[in-house]
Amino acid sequence: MGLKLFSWFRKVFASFGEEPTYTECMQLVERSRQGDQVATATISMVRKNAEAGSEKARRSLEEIKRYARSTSPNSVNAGAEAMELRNACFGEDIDKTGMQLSKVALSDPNVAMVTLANSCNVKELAGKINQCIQSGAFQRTFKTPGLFLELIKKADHDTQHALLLGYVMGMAHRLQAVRHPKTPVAVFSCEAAWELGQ
Amino acid sequence: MGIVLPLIVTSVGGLAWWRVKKQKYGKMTPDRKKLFEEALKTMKDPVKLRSLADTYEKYGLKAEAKELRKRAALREAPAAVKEKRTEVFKKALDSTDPHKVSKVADAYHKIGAYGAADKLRKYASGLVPGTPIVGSGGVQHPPKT
Repeated sequence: MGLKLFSWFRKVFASFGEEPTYTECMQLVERSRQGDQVATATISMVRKNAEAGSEKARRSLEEIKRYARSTSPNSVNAGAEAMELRNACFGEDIDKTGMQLSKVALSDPNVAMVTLANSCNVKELAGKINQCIQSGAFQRTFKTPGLFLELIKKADHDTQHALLLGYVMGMAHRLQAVRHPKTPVAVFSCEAAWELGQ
Repeated sequence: MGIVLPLIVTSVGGLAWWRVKKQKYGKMTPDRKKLFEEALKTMKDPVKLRSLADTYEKYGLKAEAKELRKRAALREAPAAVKEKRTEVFKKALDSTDPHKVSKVADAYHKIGAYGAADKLRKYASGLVPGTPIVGSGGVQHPPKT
């Protein structure tokens, strides 16, 4: 009896500080994709520990990356989330808009860009979301999207997330701008502008 | 006999030359493909595009020559046509119907405006089906209840 109790305690204590199992990695990725900030922060922490040299964290990170690369975000969910984003924009709920935008941008930046461009005044929205203004992503994207994509690759994970939102909003702003009859098409695409004779 | 031997040598040489020429005629070699793709992306001068199209046609690559001529024709279109195309492009980017946008994209693809067609297709793929009609300035208004 004593031996059984001892082995149970040993098991329980051994489980503390254990690396996430494969199922946990999978759950973390899925929860993060659905906008769970805790899951995103956990992945970020695992990444930092791996960079600091922890062997357990490195193996966990490998599992997380392997799962994230082997599965793509559900497109049906992206559509439903885009509808929620649109409704949040219509409702002018800035907190909900920011959260939904984050979700949609992570699963499909193109859907996020188009939904945003069709649902609200992007310039006004960018003014409200401080995160993007601080990183300067919105302005940089509007000026030079190609150069901005190069910069985003070099940033750390948390900054990348903020920059992605800025990038999506910057591109949505370009899309809204090009709709104006007097705006040159080159604002949206140089190649298309040449083809259309501008 | 003295005339037969040079005749045979010339015939064999001619046949070999004809075979080599025939093998490359009408064939899209990797170099030709690379040059063609590069020209579609970067070549902006209609005169150069037409010149390259003539070269491709000379080597039996008629479809590629046609594509290059289409690109040249885009720039040489009358101002009114260019204006109309720009207007349609902008209207398509203002639409919320993915099917209509795709149709416009197909039309641009047919005339050789591949960049504009790609942009429209990407826009169409980002549209959520069932979104309401666009209001002024390209911004949708919430459905009235």
